[in-house]
Amino acid sequence: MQDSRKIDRELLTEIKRMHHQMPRWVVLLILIGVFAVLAYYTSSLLVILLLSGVLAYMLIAVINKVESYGIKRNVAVITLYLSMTVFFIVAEIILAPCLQDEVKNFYTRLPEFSKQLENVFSQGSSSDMQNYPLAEELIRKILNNAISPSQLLEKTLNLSEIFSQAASFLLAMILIPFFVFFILKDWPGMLKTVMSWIPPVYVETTVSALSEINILVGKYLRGLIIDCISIGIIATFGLWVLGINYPLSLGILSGAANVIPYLGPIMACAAACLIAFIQYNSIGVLINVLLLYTVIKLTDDLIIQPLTIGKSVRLHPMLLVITIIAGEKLFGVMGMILAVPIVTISQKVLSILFESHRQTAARKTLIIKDKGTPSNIPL
Amino acid sequence: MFKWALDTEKEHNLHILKDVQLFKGLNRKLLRKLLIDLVEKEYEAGEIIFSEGDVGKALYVILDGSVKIVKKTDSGEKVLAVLGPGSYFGELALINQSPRFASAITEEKANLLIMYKSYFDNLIKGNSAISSRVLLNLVSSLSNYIGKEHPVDEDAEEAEYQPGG
Repeated sequence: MQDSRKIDRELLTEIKRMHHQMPRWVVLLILIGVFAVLAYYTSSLLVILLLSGVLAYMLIAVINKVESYGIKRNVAVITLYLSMTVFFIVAEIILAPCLQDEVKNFYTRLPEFSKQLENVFSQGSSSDMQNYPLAEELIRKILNNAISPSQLLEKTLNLSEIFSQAASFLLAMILIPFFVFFILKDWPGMLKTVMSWIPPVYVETTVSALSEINILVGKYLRGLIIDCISIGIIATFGLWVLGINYPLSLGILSGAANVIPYLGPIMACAAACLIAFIQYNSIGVLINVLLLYTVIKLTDDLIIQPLTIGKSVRLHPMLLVITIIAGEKLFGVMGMILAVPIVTISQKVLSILFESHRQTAARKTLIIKDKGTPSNIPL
Repeated sequence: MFKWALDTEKEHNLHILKDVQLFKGLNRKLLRKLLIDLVEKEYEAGEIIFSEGDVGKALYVILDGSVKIVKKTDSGEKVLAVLGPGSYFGELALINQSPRFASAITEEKANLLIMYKSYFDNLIKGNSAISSRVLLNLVSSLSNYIGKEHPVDEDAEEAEYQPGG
C-alpha cells in the first residue's frame, strides 16, 4: 500500500517534470491526437452529437426569440416541441401521399427499369445512342468497368444493410430529439458553467471566439437552409417541365444533396440522369437534364450563395475537397455534410488564437522596449 | 407573477440593465434580447478583469458586485473609480481595439455581462432599433472625453476617466 502510494507520487512528480519540459504545442498535439482517435472510435455517437448540436443551434434562435418576449425557457422549449410534432403530422398528411406514390411506383417498376437499362447497353438498341458514338462508348465503358446496371439497382435493396441502417436511424431518431431538448433547455446554464472555468486572462479571447463562431455558424446555417430549399424548388420545377418522372423526390434529393459541396450536386444530377435515361432512353433528354443541373449550379454559385451564405464561409477549393474526402473517410455521409462547417469554425478559432497570441507578444515586446523590466508585464 | 414569465434572477438582471446609461431608451424586449445574447461571467473578489495596456476587445456591464478602475502612476497605483451594479466600463473597445487606459479589478465578487466588439458590430448592422439608441448613448458618454484628450497634469488625467454609470 505504502509502496504503491510512493510509486504514484513518483509518477506524479515525473509527469509534472515532463510537463514542464514539454513545450505547450507538443501537449496540444498529443491532446488533438487522443481526441482524433477517440472521435474515430465513437464516430456514430459523435455524428449524432454533432447533428444534435447543429439542430439545437438552429432552434436556439427560435427559443431566444420566444424568451425575449418574457416567456420562461422551459415553457418555450416544450411549446416548440409540441408545435414541431403538430407540424410533422400536418406535413406527413399533406406531402407523404404524393411522395409515397412516387417511391412506391419507383420500387414496383425497379426490375423493369434495370432490365430496360441493361438492354440499352447490351444491345445498343437506342437509335439516339448511335448518333452519339463517343457518349455511348464512354457510358458503356464506365458501366462495364464498374458494375452491371441491374446489380447496381439490386445492391440498394440489400435487406440486411437496410435493416442495420434502419436500426441506427431509429437510434438517431430517438437520441437526437433527446439531446436537442436538453441542449435547448440548459444552454445558458452550460455556457455559464463553462465561462466560470475560464481564467479572467482568457475571457476576452473566449468571448471573441464564441461571438465570431456564433455569427459565422448562424450565417452558414441560415444560408444553407435557404440555399437547399431554393435548389429543391428549382430542380423540382425544372424536372417537371422536362417531363422527367418523380420530380418531387428528385427535387428533394437535389436540395438535400446540396449540403455536400461539389459532390452533392453531381450525385443529384446523376440520379436525375439515370431516371431520365430509363424513362426516355435517349441522349437528348440526358443532355437537357445535364443542362438543367448546370444552370442550377450556376444560379446557385452566382446568385443564391452570394446572397445567402456570403463570402465569409468560403474555404479554398483545395482545402474544401480535402475536407470533404477526410470527412467521408472518418464519418461517412454525415462527415461530408459536417466537414465544411467544422473546418470553417476551426479555421476561425485558430485565427483568433493566433491574433490574440500575436497581440500579447507585440505588447510584451513594447513593454520590454519601454521599461526594460519584463517583470512588470501584467497578464 | 405568471408561471411562464422569466425567473427571478433574470428579472433582477433586467432591472439592472434597464438603468444602464448605455442602454437607456431600449424597451424591455430589446433588453431581454441583450441579456439572452450576451455572455455572463462571475468573478471572484480581487480578480483582474483586464490590465492597463491590454488590447481592448469587449465592454463590461456590472450586474452584481463592484469593480475598481486602477491606473498606474509614478507614485504607485491610483484608484480612479469604484463602479457598482448598473455601471459599464471598457466602452472604447467597441469603437477601436485600442490599449486599455486603466486596469479593472473586482473589489468584491462580481457578475459581469460581456459584450464583444463583433457582437456590437453585428448588432449595429442588424437591428436599427437597438443600434441607433446604443450608438447615441455611446456618443453622449464619449463626448465627455472631448477636450480632455491630452491631460497636462495628473489631476487632468484623473478627470479624463469618467466611466458610464
